[in-house]
Amino acid sequence: MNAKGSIAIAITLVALIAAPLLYTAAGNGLFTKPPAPQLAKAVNATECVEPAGWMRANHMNLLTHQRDLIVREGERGRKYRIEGCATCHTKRAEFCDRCHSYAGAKPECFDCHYLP
Amino acid sequence: MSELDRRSLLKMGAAAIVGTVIGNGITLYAAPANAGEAAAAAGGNALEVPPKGKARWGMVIDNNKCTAQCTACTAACRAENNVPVFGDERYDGHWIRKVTLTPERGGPEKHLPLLCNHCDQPPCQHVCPVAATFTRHDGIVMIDKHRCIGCRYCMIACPYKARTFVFKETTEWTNKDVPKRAHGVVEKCTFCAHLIDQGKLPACVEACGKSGEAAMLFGDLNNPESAIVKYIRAVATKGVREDLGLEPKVFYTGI
Repeated sequence: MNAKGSIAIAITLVALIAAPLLYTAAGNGLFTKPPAPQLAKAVNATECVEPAGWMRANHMNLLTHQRDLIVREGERGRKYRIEGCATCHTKRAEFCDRCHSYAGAKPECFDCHYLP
Repeated sequence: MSELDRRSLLKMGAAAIVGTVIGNGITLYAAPANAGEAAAAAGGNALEVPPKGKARWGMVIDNNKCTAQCTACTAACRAENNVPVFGDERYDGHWIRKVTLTPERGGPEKHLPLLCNHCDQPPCQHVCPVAATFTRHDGIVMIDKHRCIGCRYCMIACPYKARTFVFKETTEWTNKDVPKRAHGVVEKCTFCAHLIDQGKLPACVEACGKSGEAAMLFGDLNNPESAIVKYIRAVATKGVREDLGLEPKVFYTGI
C-alpha cells in the first residue's frame, strides 16, 4: 500500500470516530458562546465602592482580606464587607449567583452569611 | 418565679446592698449594687468599651439566683447567634447550657449555666493545628470559621465541653445579622463579640437581666472601677475547674 492510501484510510478513520462526538458536542452547544449573564441592577446607589470593572475582577480578594481584620481584630463597620454588598445588590439569585454559575465559581460565603 | 417576686428581686439589685442566701441561715452580703447590675436589671444594655487592647472581658454568674427552670440565657443565645435545635442531641449545638450539679455528699442540686470560659490559657487554642482559634485583643477566645478545618482537637482539649461540632447546618435564620455556621466547623460562645464591638451586652446577660433572674454580671476585668471587679473583690467567686490552671474568665458564686 502506498503512502497516499494509508493517509486516506487514517483520515477516514478519524472522521468516522470524531463525527458522533462532534455531533453530540454541537447539539449540547459547546461551539456556541453562552449568552452573558443578565445581572440585576444595583439599587440604593449609582456607584460601587470601587469601579465596577475592578470589582468584577477583584471583589473576592477584598472580602477575604477584610474578613480577617473583622474577625480577628474586631474592626467592624469597614468599607468593604459582605453585608455591604447586600445593601445595593439585594437579590443574590439575580446578581451573585448568575455570574458565579457563568464563571463556574463556587464561593462558600453564602453557606454562613445571609444575603437575601 | 412569679412576676411580683422578680420585681422585688430587681429592686434588690438596684438597692444599696445585695444579700444572697448561700446556706441555712447564712446570708452573703455582696458589694454595693453597681451600674452594670442596675443597668441590666433596668433592661438597659449599654456597655462601656475601652480603647482597643485595654479591655479584658469577664463574667460573674451568681448561682444562688439561677434557677433550674429558667432558660432565658440559653434561649437568648440561640436566637441571637442562630444556634439551632434539631431535636436530636447528636446534632444540637450548645453555646451555653444549663448543667445540674449533684453534690456527692448530698444536699441541694445546683443548676448553673456553663459557657465558654474564655480562658487566659486556652487549651483549645494551643492544640489548634491551623491557628483557627485565637484570642482577641480583649481576651475573647474565638474561632475563625474561615480557617477551621473541623478536626475537633479543640473539643477534646476543652475541659468545659463548651464546643460543639456542626454536624448539620441550620436553614433557619433567627438573626440575619449574625452568620450561621456551615457543616464541618466547630462552634462555641463568642461572648457575643459582635455586640460588644457595638457597645452592647452579650445576649445571655441582657436576657438574664430582663426576663431571667438577673444572675449574670458582665464587665471589664481590667478596669478597677467596673462593677464586675468590685463584685469579685467583695464576694468569694470561683471558676469551674480552676485547678487546671487555665485561668477562666467566667466566675461563679455559690457553687
